[in-house]
Amino acid sequence: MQGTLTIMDDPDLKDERLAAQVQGGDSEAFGTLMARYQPKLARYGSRFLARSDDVEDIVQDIFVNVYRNIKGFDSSQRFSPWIYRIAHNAFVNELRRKSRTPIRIPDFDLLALHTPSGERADDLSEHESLARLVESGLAGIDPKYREVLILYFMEELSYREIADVLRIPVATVGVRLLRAKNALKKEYANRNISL
Amino acid sequence: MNDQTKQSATEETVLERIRSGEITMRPGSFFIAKVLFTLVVSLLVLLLSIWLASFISFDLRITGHESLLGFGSRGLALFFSIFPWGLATLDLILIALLVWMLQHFRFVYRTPLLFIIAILIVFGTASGLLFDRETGFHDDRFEEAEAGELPIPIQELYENVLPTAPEDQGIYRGYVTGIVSGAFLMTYDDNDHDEDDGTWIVMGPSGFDTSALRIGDKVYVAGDRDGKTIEAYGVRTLAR
Repeated sequence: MQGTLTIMDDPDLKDERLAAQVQGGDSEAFGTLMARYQPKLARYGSRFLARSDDVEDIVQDIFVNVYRNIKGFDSSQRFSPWIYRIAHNAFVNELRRKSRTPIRIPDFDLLALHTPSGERADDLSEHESLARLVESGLAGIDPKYREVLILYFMEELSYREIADVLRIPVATVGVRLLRAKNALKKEYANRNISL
Repeated sequence: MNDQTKQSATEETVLERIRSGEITMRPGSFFIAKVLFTLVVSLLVLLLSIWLASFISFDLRITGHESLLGFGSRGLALFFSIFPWGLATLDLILIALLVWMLQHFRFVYRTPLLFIIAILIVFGTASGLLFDRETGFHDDRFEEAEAGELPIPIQELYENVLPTAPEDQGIYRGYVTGIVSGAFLMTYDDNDHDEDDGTWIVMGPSGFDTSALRIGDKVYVAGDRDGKTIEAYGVRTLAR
């Protein structure tokens, strides 16, 4: 048991391998996956929902859903976009449940053809400073833009992974990120914070 | 409760529910069946959309309305005003449904929506046109409908294809009964037994060659009627 725990706690053991073990019926491997993703999903949820009161309960539901559907995960693909997709659905449902206007507004960004932008819309130093700035201004912007900022700057997902989480074209991730940054700048301007 | 304790509590609760058998994994076959179901329903919707496009093509062909496309700007405007927009809208709804069902697949959601919709419209329209022009499927059903051999809803669908020509919009269908230079005689029978049934003189558009016409040809005429004369801006013979 001790030996098993050491293997499970090995940070080099890939999520995908752990997921494959869970698919084979190893529930302890699922414990390791939860330990890895619980803080990430709680952080993602509290920032996306702009509150933290019931995030723990939602995260618990997410893990229940992950376990129920784990056999639908293709272990040749990356695990993080898959689990973030389930979390995204749960948080979006929660936002809709609490929203006064639960009707979905069509996203016209998805219609257009966008020129694929480079993986990074900013250099690394800008990325780090923006990540710090993003944190304080998140609550004031549209959830659609808030989420892409969280996934990119805080969860450090790639454009491709964000595209898989949100199920949108990769080029649209770049466009949405650019608009999110502009929305954030406007938010700072409204609060008289200079960048 | 601090974050670490909360984390452990969440993990423990979920693991406990797994161990007790309260939470179980869905079998792999469930996901395979789900994908197969989505693909089969998507295929059926695609086929229905192609069939609808082919029916629109048949409608325009059998009524002769597609001839309007060759009758200049006036014909083009009339074509769009009598186009079966209801069926076309239904086809677009089917395409939207198809896109929505296929959104779960990476190759679809990674492609811009407009591009996917455009591909489906072009593919559906081309396949529908090809199906109508190459198979004769709708012509056979049309004949069966005329003989009253089809189930009621399909029977009605085909029977409604060839209603009276929209004479109020200057469109007439009939048979050639006599030919003179630059003009011909046409029986106009729209089956409504009103005063406009009878024989008309059709003055062809400038440069109209009557040598291509034969007595008994079914013709589609677009023009302005004045008494017993139709001043046509477009004439085309129909296959049936």
